[in-house]
Amino acid sequence: MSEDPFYDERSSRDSHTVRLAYVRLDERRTPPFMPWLLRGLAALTLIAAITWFALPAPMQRQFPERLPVRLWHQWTGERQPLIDAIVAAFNRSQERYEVIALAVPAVVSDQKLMLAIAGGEPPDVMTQWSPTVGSWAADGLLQPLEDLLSAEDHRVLREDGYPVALKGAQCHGHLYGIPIGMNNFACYFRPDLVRAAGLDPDHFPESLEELVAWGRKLDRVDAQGRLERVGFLPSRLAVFAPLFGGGFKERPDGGITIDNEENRRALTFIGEVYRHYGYERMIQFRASLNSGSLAVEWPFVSGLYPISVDGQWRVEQLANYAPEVEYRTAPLPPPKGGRVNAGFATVNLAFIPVGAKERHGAMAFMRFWSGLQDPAIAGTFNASGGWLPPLRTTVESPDFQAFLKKNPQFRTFITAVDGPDVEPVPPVAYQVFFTSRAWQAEDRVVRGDKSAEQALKDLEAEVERERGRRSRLSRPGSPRSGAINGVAP
Amino acid sequence: MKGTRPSTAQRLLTHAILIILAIPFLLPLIWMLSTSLKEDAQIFPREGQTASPFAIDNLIPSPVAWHNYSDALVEVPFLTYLGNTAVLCVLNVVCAVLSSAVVAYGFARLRFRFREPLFVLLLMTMALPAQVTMIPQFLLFRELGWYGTFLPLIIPSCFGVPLFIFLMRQFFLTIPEEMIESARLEGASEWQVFRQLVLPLSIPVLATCALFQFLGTWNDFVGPLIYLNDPNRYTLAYGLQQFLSEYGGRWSHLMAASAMFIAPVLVLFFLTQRTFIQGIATTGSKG
Repeated sequence: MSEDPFYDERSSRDSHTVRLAYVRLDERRTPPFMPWLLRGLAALTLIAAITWFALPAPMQRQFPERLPVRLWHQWTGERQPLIDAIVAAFNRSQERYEVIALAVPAVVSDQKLMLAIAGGEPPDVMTQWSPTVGSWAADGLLQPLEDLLSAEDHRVLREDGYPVALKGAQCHGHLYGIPIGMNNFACYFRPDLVRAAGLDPDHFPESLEELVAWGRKLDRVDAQGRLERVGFLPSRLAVFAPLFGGGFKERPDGGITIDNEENRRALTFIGEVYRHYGYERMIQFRASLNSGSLAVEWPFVSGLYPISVDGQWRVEQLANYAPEVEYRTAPLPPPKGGRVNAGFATVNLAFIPVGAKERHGAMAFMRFWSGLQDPAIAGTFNASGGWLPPLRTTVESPDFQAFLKKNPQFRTFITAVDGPDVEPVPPVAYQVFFTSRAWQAEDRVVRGDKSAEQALKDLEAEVERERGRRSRLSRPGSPRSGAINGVAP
Repeated sequence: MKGTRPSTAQRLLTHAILIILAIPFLLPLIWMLSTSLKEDAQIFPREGQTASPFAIDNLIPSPVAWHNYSDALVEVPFLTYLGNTAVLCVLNVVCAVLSSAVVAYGFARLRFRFREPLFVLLLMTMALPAQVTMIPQFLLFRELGWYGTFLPLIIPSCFGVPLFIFLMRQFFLTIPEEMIESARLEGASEWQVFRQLVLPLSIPVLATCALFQFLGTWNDFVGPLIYLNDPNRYTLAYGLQQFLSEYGGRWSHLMAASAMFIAPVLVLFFLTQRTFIQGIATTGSKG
């Protein structure tokens, strides 16, 4: 240390920082600014160059000579290969277009799409399984598809398609999406637990009242009175309301039927089941469960809900993740005096956003996937994904029949979806708003915060306010207004 | 004030209390590690098992499924995502810290017209929600032909980050003016003062900003979502979402990938925590 020529000078000063300053300034040998800047820039460039070249090359197109058709879909994870297979089959089937697929996580796909449309870089085809077509069409995000379909396509959709598929794709007289699948609901039940409760699984209840009685026999409570198992717990008003003769339908004036006697009875029925168990006790029980969208965490699998009302996708999940679970499916029975064969379904749609560059290629791919081009090929896709096809001829195709033979419980859903009284969420301009508020209204009832009457009354008022707001923001008569033929709310 | 060294009993008590308080924060991490070593069928309690997923018998994997880690690496191109993320992190950290330091020095030590109003204007940009600037930024980058590349995820960092500029300015103001004046009297240029005096004294705040930027880039989900359309360019935060499908998904693989995802961040934090905490304390940004 003592050999350091600056040592004495530095040690004589109190501040370490001042020492530093003097040492650094004494050491200066280079002109002050440019060399340092150049060295910094060179270092940055080097880092950037090394890292840039270390990166993988961008994905190469398989058929660069063809017209690109960009597809954004929401089947991520283990489901993504199913879509890749459809895309590969389409690309093999013709020589004009190349579909380039991109999986976008469902929770953020809307955000990506909106920004891409605003920025002028939308995909040519986008899929969506949530009921949004009404809102998106009203907001001018989607292109009507009539001019891209042949007369034969229209006929097939009308005559061969399940009615709900077309209802879910149309908005204000225009077709905005091509149905590629559907989702509906039925009862899943556990015969092993049913038998253990002294019930006969071969004679499933034929009325909601009987179903509730079955559920009570399957309940299990621990020594402290806490619920360990709930036999049957209804949820989703949209699913139950049609059985009571109600449901959410678009009125001629553009509104939705919400606060009526049938819907009140349906929501009261749901609320009463929760009241029977005690709202607090029920909240605690539900809080101890997982959200259940994935098979492994679905409380039905763990036996905590021995009778569950859920969608057809569970059949595939159970086969893949819980093959050891013995289960059956049955149509959701109506209440005594209720309506048989009525129900609710959502529709998976493929659509063309505004600003898409390759409309014809997009439609060619949508025709291929949906079965409009060849129902047998679509049958193969639907069988591989465990999807509910939108066309009857697809259901009849050999591959799909083989799928049904292997998964007989799926037939319940095919039967349940085929009827004139199966309704989607009405594709009105405020569809997304309505869907979220309807969930909240039901949640308040099952928590005991509101009566069914009050919840529906408030929901209708809220929805009407939103309809009025949209109407004021738009030109009279446009789809955005939520009014038809100029009848504003 | 005279400090007294705490007794062993006091220290044990302090540690015991801290450990108890840390348990709620550790449980999700423990669950993640536990799940990453289970088969899918073991993850959630089945009929007859203790209902709580945090019960000890549910947390201990048996058998231990080490293969989840190798499977996760195969299921999605984890190493590609890691490489992309590392590139973005390095470039963003270097660009953000250097550019912010230059701007902060100007605000702290140079006198020029409208300095204070400009600084207030800069602070106001921090209050702008990202959603407000998202579309104009998107349009700008698209016009520049950068859509689908890494550039929109890097270049903004080269123009200073308002939060870092604020933190650094506050730190630079604590350096005695006399010291800087004396350096100037010795003939140092402004650039030399900045580089040879101020920057070496500001390591804690620079490290803090670097760590913030690293974490921000490492965890950034929205940026890659908006600007990247090529799976070969995905980052870890975005790529991990690929493990999940809406009605499917392998929790065991997702948790294994998540454990690998957070490991570098944890290591980095433990290595830099002393500097980080010092930086936080000296810039007055606690709480």
